[in-house]
Amino acid sequence: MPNAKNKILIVEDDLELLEVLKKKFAMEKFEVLEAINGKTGLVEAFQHHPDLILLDIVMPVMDGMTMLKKLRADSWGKNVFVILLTNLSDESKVAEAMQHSVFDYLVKADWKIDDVVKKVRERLK
Amino acid sequence: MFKNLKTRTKLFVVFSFTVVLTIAAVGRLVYQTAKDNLYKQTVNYLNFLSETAKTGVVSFLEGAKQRAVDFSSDGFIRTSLKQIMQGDQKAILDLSAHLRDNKQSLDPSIYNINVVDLNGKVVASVAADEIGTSLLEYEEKDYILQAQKLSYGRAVLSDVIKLGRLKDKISIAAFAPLTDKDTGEILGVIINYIQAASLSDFISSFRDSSIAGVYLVDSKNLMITEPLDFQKHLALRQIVDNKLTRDCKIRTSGSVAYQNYKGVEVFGVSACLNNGWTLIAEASVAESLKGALDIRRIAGYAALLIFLEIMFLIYFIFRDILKQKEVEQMKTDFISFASHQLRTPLTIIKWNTEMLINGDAGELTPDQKQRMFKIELGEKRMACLINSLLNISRLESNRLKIEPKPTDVLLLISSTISELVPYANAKNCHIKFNKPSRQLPLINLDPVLLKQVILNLLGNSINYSKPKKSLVEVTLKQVGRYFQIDVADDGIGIPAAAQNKIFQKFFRADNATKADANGIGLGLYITKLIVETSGGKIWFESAEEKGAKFHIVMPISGMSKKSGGKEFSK
Repeated sequence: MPNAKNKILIVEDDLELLEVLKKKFAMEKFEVLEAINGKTGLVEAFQHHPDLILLDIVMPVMDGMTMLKKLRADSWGKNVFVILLTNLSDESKVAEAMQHSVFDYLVKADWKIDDVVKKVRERLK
Repeated sequence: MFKNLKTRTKLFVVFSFTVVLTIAAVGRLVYQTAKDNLYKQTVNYLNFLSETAKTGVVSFLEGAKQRAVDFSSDGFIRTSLKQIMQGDQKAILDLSAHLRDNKQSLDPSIYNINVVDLNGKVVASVAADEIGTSLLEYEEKDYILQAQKLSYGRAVLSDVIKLGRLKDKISIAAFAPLTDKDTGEILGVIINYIQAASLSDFISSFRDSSIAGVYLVDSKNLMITEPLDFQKHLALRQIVDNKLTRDCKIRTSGSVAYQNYKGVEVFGVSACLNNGWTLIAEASVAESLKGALDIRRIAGYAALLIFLEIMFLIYFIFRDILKQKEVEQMKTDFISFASHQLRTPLTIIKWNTEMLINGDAGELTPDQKQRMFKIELGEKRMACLINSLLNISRLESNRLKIEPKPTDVLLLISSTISELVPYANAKNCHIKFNKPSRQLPLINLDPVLLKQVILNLLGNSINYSKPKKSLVEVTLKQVGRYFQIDVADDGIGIPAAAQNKIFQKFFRADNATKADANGIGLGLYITKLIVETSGGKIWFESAEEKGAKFHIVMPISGMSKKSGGKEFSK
């Protein structure tokens, strides 16, 4: 079981997906923070310092890759765990993400939600 | 830019330039050959013309000399001269009248006849104002002195002389000694003046339209005749000093190309006369080589035209390639975008269904759970369709990532069969694997792609097996430098009418649709694309209701690595 203090930040522009993820992680005893784009995601991240960030790539206002770059430029943000969660199976995005110490890259449609939770737990062990 | 082109394009460009250069080289060769031939023809023609003209000129000049000799034998003239020398004034008038009426009238080219005594003084003349003039003060002097030394019956011909005292008459004069009939003593000289224009007119008859000029040059390099406007422009005074006239001084005829006195490039041919004169026949280089120049011009135009055509062709090919690439990129981008957009709602369905089935929102009744499973199945089929479309897009646009690694094909087939055994059992179908008699080496291939091929073929065989107990046989064997996998079943088979379409996208045979309404008609299409992308071949034999046997062969050497593309979506 994760530590009760484990906080995750979910950055996802699709509200239905955000909702289901929020519900699932809340049920799994995580403290869940949410943001609907990279810009608000950065604010939440810098303010609350989550243990892990689940980050979508394609989003309005600020996309996930831009948020990741800004995060990695910060003294705290450069070490925070990030899992990219997207439906774009683009090799170039994976390569780019790996340059920014991304823990994993998950294609949403290929993963069960239980397995996503497992992945997050593995990282926070 | 050139080095970035594909080898095939480079070869095409090189070939195109080679064609153009070949046309230019052949054109050049034809031009040179034609030029040489035309030059030879022209020189031969000029030789013929100059020799013919020379014969005529010699005849003309000999005729002039002979006329002077004839006149010198005239008894009346000789007697009259003797009388004049003895002081008979009347004889002057009589002789002058005789010269005019009886001698000049014989030859229209003779415009004056003078009879001079030993002192060179004109004692009788057709031109009355000449009488009393001493010709030793004029150009005739040397010739008179020469004639006085000649024996009876001979004559001497002058070079060109311009007689200012006779209204600038340009003349050639023939000098013959006059002797006493009884003693043979030289009494004087008779001089026939012939207008040079007569000789010019005579030579003009040897011209034709392609000849720039036929003319005579005397021993002092002075042009005697010029065919056109001879008198008007006094071209007579033109000095012609070139190789032809110099060679003729030593009686050597020849041919040479040079710029003539009019500044025209000509071929010139000489015929030398015994008196040191040169007869020159000239032809314009441009006119003579017109045919060759036409060939060169036509070859040049042809090479230019073909070059332009090739350039246009290259332009259109490149434009089409760029357009095609642009379309392919747009298609790929669209599919990528569309897959993202389609996958997101599917994920919402998938995760919510999963949570409901897991009881995350409270326990479901068995019936509710069954319905949720059906929703989940529908989602999986939709996800499978999206993945198939993505894979097709990558295969068609040659953007599929291929990562070969040493693979035990036998093990790969065995594990794939194992995965499908539960499904096969559910369909009352038995899978038999015929392993090769000799172990295959590890083959460098992408196991994900090969597994997909086996899954598709084996999946079809199980799917389209008959309801009764059925058998699917998988055979692996090595055939030379290839390995072959056969998948044979005793299922519903492929109707003859459908056999040429089964590798087409979205095609499904009627009996297949009846047997399984859920298929989408992409499996065999993807299988064929993968096999062919990997350098292999696929074919089959089948008859309706008698099963089907699919064969694939792939090289033992394995697949070529292709990085930078996208992975196969499973």
